[in-house]
Amino acid sequence: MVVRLREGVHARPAAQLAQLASEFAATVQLCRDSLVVDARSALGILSLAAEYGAELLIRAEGPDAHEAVECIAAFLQGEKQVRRER
Amino acid sequence: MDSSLPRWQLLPKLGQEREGEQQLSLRGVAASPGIALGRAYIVGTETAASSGQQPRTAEQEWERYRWALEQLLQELDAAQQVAQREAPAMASVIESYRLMLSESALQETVQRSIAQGSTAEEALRAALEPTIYRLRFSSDAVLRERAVELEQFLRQLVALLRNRMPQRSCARNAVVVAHALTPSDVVLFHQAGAVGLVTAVGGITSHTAIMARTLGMPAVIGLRGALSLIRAQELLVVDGYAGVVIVRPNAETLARLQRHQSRAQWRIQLAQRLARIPAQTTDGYRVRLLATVASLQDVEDALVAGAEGIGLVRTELLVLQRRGVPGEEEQYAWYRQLCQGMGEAPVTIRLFDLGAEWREAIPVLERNPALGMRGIRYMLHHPELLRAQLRAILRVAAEGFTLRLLLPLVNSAEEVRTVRQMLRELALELGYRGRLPALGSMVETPAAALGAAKLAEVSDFLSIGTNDLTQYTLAVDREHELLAEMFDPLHPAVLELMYRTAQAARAKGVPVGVCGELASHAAATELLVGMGIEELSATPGSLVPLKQRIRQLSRAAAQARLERLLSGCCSNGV
Repeated sequence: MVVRLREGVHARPAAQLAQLASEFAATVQLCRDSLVVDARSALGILSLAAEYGAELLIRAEGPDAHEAVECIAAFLQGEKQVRRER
Repeated sequence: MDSSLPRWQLLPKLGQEREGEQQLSLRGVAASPGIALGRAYIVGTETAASSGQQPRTAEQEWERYRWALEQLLQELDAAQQVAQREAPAMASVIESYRLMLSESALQETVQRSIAQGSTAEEALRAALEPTIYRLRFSSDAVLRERAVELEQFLRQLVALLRNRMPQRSCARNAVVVAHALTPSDVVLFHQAGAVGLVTAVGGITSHTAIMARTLGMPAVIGLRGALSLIRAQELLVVDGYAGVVIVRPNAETLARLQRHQSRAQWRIQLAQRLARIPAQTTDGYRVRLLATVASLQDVEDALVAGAEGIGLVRTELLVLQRRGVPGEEEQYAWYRQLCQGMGEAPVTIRLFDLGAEWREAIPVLERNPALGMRGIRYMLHHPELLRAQLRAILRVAAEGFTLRLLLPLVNSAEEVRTVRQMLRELALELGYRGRLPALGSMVETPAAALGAAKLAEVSDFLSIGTNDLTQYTLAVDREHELLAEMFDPLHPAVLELMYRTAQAARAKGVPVGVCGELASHAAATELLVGMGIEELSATPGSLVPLKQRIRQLSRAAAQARLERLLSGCCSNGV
């Protein structure tokens, strides 16, 4: 998927994304080229240096993996109200 | 010193030799407006590779690390609380860094390195540097700024590991000079009473710059060599308008500063007196002084300063603030409020100049947004946005307010014709009677300046946007920290293009104005008057000094001076 956040994934979005990812039971990884990071780590996400238009791969494993991928993809697409439905 | 000299002649070049204890002017990037005077408080920057101390056990290293991190997190907490009060928009940035530095992934990485025999410093570096390096080489300026900030947090942690606590209380009434500052630093130094900021690295999009602006603290950033040229306790003048730091100001500079400050104090009184006096040269040449505004507050300030109208409403700030393009109704209400504030005076609404800062709706990747889909191109590409904006403007104009429309980044007469046609159609649709709002073109590219005669034929007025004209003429990014010195709106080539534009407009009998940073620059006023510019649009705060300056000038002398300057430059082959 392609990052559509206006300013790229910088400090604030990285922290928000990490928080979002840690709400899921599934382990979620984000990959850019050969770099793979844990989506629960804001620092890791930041190290992807994902600017607007960067291509990322989302990988999830676990019971709610499907939902996690969708939710994180929506966030990276710049959809504002990303919240997990309970 | 002749203050009417162009800026590049006024200021010594960066890196000039230190002559005795003479005054030294250093040029950086203007990050936050205002002028501050204070002694230099230097923030330590040691980043030596290894501490070279006696070996400690892994447990001791881990304890040292935990203690240092705890101190930093407490600082961030304190900074966040202050920010919540004084710069709410920035509080979440600090919170993000707090989350990032306290997350368990980082602690695990550090713990693992320490268990394998690293010192706390080495472990920290190993954990943070990969991220810093990747960000530093990002193609994106905003992400590169985050590398600077993260690196600064690393420096702070390393300093804390050596028991060096930040001495913020010493910064009272001082100018903080640092390699870089984190957003939390800025808040805490502000809280401690620091009056200004100077950093060696960082650009205009850094959180440091944004935070300083939010707190109203004058700042000059990206001043390479700040730490080698400025010594502790030296007296500094931070000119956050011009991006200049004066080290060891001499008596003349201090006197000028004092005049500036006392002027600022009774500016309002003066403005009230001056508001009724026209901006006219000694030989009777009349200039219309207009205000550049972005908010309703600015409109109030403009009225106090005696503005004769609004020369430019920066509508795109409305988009950035609400993080979306407002619809017709919202725009109508906002424009109406602006006009109500100004009464009968004209209000010039620039069509949304969406571009580099607002990329959400651009479907293609832009390697070079300054040359991409922005200005009137963007609006013509999104006719629904253009239509909504034109309708909102027409509806306000229908109520009897004097509105003018300004098209950003025009390159050809065709673009103006298209908008005018659309305006006519919408007027019909709305049953609009009376004269259509005047339609003006911004001259911001060399193409527009060289084709000014053609633009003047289809426009009701022209307005030269000096920031973009400078950027596109010199091929210098105005926000590039290393090229700050080269971004010179008074460069002979830029002046030449402005002069040609003014001549072409006058030949067609179309009024020509200038908006942008240059309009408020005292040294440039004479040149603009010399060109025959009829309208100047500047921020409300600079209108009174501008009017005073104009009243001291003679049009004839200004013209002679400009022609001398331009012919001199041309013979030099520029």
